[in-house]
Amino acid sequence: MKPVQIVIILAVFLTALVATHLYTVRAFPRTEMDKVIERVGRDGERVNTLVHAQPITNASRNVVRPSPDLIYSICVYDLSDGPVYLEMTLNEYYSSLSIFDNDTNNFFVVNDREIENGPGRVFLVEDGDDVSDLDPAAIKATSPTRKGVALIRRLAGSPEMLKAAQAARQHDVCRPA
Amino acid sequence: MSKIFRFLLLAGFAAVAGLIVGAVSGLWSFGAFGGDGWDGQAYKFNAKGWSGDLAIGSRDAGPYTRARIAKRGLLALSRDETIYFFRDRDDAGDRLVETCRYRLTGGAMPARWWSVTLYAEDDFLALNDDNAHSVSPEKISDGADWQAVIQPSRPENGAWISSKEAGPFNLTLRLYNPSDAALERPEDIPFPDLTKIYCQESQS
Repeated sequence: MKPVQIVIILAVFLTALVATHLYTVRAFPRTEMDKVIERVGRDGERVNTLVHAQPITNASRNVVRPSPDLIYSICVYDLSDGPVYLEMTLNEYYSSLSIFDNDTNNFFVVNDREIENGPGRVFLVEDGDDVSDLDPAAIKATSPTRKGVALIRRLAGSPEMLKAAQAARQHDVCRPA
Repeated sequence: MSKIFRFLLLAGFAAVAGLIVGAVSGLWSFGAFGGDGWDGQAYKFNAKGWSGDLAIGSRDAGPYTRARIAKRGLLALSRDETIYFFRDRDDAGDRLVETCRYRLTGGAMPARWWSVTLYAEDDFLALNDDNAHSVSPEKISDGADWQAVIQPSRPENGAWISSKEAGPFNLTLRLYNPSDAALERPEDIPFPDLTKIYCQESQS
């Protein structure tokens, strides 16, 4: 075999290795988000609606490293048909509304102390959406991707906190705007 | 077999081998098979046994950090809301294991709320029904300075994190709404100490 052929074969090997390595690393987060979206959204059945997760126990295995001191409500969103409205009811303990795009970026978060005259009201939109008809008093959050996940976290580390969190979250909202 | 055919065959094998090695090395690099993966891409911050990366959850996170968090902490909040630190070794550098007892001691944390949670090697809560997976301010009754034991059985008194059925485990420290000082100088955070008390196999 000619030296140039050996060089070409090595180049093919290294090019394939580097390209696949980088693709694997970069694609993994989106793959994991897609799994959550499919699992929680039940392949489209539970999209743009809030799902109240049970208090965290050792049987909670949908998302890695859940905090047993928090209680979660999750909404898989899809902006294909327009903006989505989110509302987080406040209580006396910590709560936050965070939104993640389909590439795992936490592009928006607001907590109870950052909201005046609650509840926290957010319209989730895509870049270029017409927001003129949306309540100007509500927060507008622009999602970098059409699909993603909104997550409401509430402190629930004691029975009192859990009771307050469960009562408050009954009033939370995720629905098409 | 003609020389050109042999060359093309070898090039094809090289491409397939590159794809396989690239995929495996990619998964290994961020710890998809367990362990730390590529050390050169491990968490950027290390202090007092705790590791972290303040870019978690943000667009600033590099691809390896992003993949590592997708594997081990999906839906983590950005630093504006919460910062996370991790450890799987005690203060002596030994791996945390269920068969040893540990003492976790700390003081006031520079955050609105904090917690330390034990996770098994699969990054889920340990498969026990002790309902003692973490410590947080509402579980500490000793004021600013606090301590908790990490062991498989409930202590007679005091705060406790159960390591029952955990096997080799790791801890996550969450600081919710961290202070500006904690964000600017994370190395000055008064991280909790983690001391081994003894192990079942060998007293130490």
